[in-house]
Amino acid sequence: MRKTITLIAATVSSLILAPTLQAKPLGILENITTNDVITIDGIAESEWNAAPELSVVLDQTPYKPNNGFEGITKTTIKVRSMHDDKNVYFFLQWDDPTKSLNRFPWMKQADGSWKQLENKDDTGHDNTYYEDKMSMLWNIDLKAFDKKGCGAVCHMARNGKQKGKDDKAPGRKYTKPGTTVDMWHWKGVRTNPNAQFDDQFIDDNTDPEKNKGWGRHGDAKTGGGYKNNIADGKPAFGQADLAADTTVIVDSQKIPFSDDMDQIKRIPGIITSAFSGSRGDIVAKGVWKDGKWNLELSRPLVTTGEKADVQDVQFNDLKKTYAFGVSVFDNSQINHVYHNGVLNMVFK
Amino acid sequence: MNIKALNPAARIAISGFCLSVLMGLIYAMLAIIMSINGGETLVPSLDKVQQKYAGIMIVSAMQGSMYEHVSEDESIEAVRQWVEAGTPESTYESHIVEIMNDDCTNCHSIGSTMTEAMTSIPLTTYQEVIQTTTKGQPWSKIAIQTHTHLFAMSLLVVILGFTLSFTQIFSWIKYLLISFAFLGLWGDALSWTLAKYFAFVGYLIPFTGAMLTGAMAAMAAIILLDCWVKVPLITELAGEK
Ligand code: HEC
Repeated sequence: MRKTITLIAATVSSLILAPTLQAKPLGILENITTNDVITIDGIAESEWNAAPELSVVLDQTPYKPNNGFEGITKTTIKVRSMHDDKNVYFFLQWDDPTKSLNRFPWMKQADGSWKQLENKDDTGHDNTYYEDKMSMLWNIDLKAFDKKGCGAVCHMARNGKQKGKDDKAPGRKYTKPGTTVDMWHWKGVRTNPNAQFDDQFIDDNTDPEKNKGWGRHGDAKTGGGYKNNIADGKPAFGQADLAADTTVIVDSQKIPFSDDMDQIKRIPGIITSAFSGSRGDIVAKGVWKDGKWNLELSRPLVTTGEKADVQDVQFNDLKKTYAFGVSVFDNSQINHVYHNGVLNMVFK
Repeated sequence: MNIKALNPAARIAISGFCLSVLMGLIYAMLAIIMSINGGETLVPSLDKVQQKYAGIMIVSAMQGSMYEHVSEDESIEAVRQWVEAGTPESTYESHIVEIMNDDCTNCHSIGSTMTEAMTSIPLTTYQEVIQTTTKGQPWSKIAIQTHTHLFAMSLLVVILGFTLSFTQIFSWIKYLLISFAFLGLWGDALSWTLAKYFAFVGYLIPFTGAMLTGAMAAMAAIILLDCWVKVPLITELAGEK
């Protein structure tokens, strides 16, 4: 008797319960059409006033660096977007009281030697001599992303292990087999001087032997990029016009470092040049002003580079809803402020 | 004997008591709603109430406050079936562990460093996960909740009922309200236990709760009015007494 009642009750409750489940996006960004020329300079032209603003609170962080973290743990990012018949444009603005672009700089020591400053935590990541960054993830074909956003690719390590393998990193990004997520990564020192994002993607790789960033990869490139400015424990290059606050050595202007660069006390830790190929698909300019980063960017609605279909989100159907997530890095290598849940972009 | 015959001091005291009960009832409702809806002050659905009192803890969580983290709705059904089947360890290894790792353990592990880390309910091993597969509220909670509820509420109801008996309203309304209050109280208290065994009882809880609080509110309001004025419509005419 009791069994029957329980059975009936269970059936009835599951019938009633089923339709109560629903997934709601955290926010919806309306992308409007523009017929004007948008200049990617980090300064909002008046056309941007027409674009609806989506405001997103970023108040989650993945880990607590053991040597302290002075970065922001909460901020609000305002996102606007437009498109014309070729490109999609975004204007992003977020609060960050400090402009941080001092990434692993070389400093001349009292004894005349050069030292590259760093302050890594026990996971091997820096939050002192680093750079401000931001990232947008766009779903390509990972089902869980449509509901959970970035959380769908985020896998935190447990007891120093990731998927059973020893791993120092607090977490890794990878997808379900056969799926990819597009990752747009803006870096204040390494890509902003070239007016670009670093166009990357996340796939299903969980073998660090194959790729030490697990699922994280740069898109296919034909040239350009950044590298550590180092040779034999010293800076490899200087630049004719170095100033105390020069953030990066521009590859085309580099001159070999020589010991007689005596008047210079600080040399940037990175040499950079613009990506060519898919990895340089996104044009961008970030400007820090009055405690805010203003970042303007554009990308072709549809990209055509090598493997563009698996490495890039394609805005080829303006009736579709596009799932994305945003996060901000305050002078930190991997610690970032993000939001739970997913954001949607719809074209108007 | 009627309340209006009491001296003003006594009537002020009774009125103060009634007002306190009314105010307390409002805040009690708020507390219940928030505990079910996870902090939101919207009216919870019947299903959510039922889930809270009769559901499998982990399944209720996946359908309720944790739903935003669940990648696939099918996972909820998979976990439910696994629990109904008696939580076999083999199914845990073949199906459940992957769901937990994909959706839950980033926060639910002892060493989690996420902002919303829930280190006190780890879900990283079989032993940990089966802790969350019990039905209904845990006995430790029911035992405390049931006896404190019975002691505290019966005291309030008896004071309200006793005072109500000296008001001048129709007797049948007095009998009705007092019985309703006690029936609601017993219904509430018993259903927390019964819902663990008969899932449908979970659906009765809002009604027993409404019966109790409704009757209490009505008694308090009537007594309050009767202290000072003639309660409209339901007062017995002097001649009929
Ligand atoms: C982003 C972090 C996070 C994730 C991911 C997460 N939880 Fe939780 N969980 C919490 C927090 C915080 C609480 C306590 C507060 C609350 O109830 O909202 C909690 C509470 C719970 C509880 C206690 C009962 C309840 O409903 O409050 C259960 C059971 C639970 N979670 C199960 C799960 C399961 C199963 C998953 C995976 C589908 C999951 N959680 C994913 C953070 C998380």
